Amino acid sequence: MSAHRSNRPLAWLLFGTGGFLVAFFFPIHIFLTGFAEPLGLVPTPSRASMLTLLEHPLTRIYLAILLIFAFWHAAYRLRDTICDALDVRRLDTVVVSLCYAGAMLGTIATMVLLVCVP
Amino acid sequence: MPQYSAYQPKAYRPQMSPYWYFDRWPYLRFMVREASCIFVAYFAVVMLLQIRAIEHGTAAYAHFQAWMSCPVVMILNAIALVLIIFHAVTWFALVPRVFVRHLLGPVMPDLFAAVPNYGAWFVASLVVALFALRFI
Repeated sequence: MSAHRSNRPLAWLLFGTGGFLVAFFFPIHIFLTGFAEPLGLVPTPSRASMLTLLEHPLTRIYLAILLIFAFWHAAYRLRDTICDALDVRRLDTVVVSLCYAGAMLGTIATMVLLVCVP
Repeated sequence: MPQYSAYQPKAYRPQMSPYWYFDRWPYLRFMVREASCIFVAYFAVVMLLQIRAIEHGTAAYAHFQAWMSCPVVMILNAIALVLIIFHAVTWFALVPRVFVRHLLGPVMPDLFAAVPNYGAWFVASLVVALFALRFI
């Protein structure tokens, strides 16, 4: 009888890549969008110039990769955080379904928004 | 005369508090870092809303920026920034621990081995900032 094989390595690959991308790129995005621009530490670019940037295919590829992996990274970790912090490992099937459904929703929203750039 | 009782085996059942992560600082630190994922998801949604605002016109973009200036959102962003930097620092220490030591053995302390990661982090942040602020 073969041993039960976990499907975790595949999910970990998404988590690991997401963790890498989040570590390198999220802090600067949060700093600029969440602090520097609202507090006036740096000039806020106009909507027209941001749209020009967003229309470039490389920007959209970058954002798609960053955000999709970030959602899967968050879902993988959120599943274990909920199970460990709230002591509900017995509900793992429900928790993992909800977390990965959220990541799937985030992936679809990212694709729709980045494909539909006017 | 000694009194003997029948041997009664009892299964070992480890008892762990549901709040085990409050027991020791390293456990709590682990759980705080795990909780960073909530803010990763939060800020990924914020970035989607920013993209949507840019696509929807000047008024929507102005509305998004007014929302970013709101104190509650700024507090959320502050928590997100601190936790994600915590995630980043531990991640940068982890990568050389796995790869460099696997190849070279335990030759250097974590912080020193992580220096190339900090260099790459700085360059990545600079490039993103130049684009996001439209200097390029």
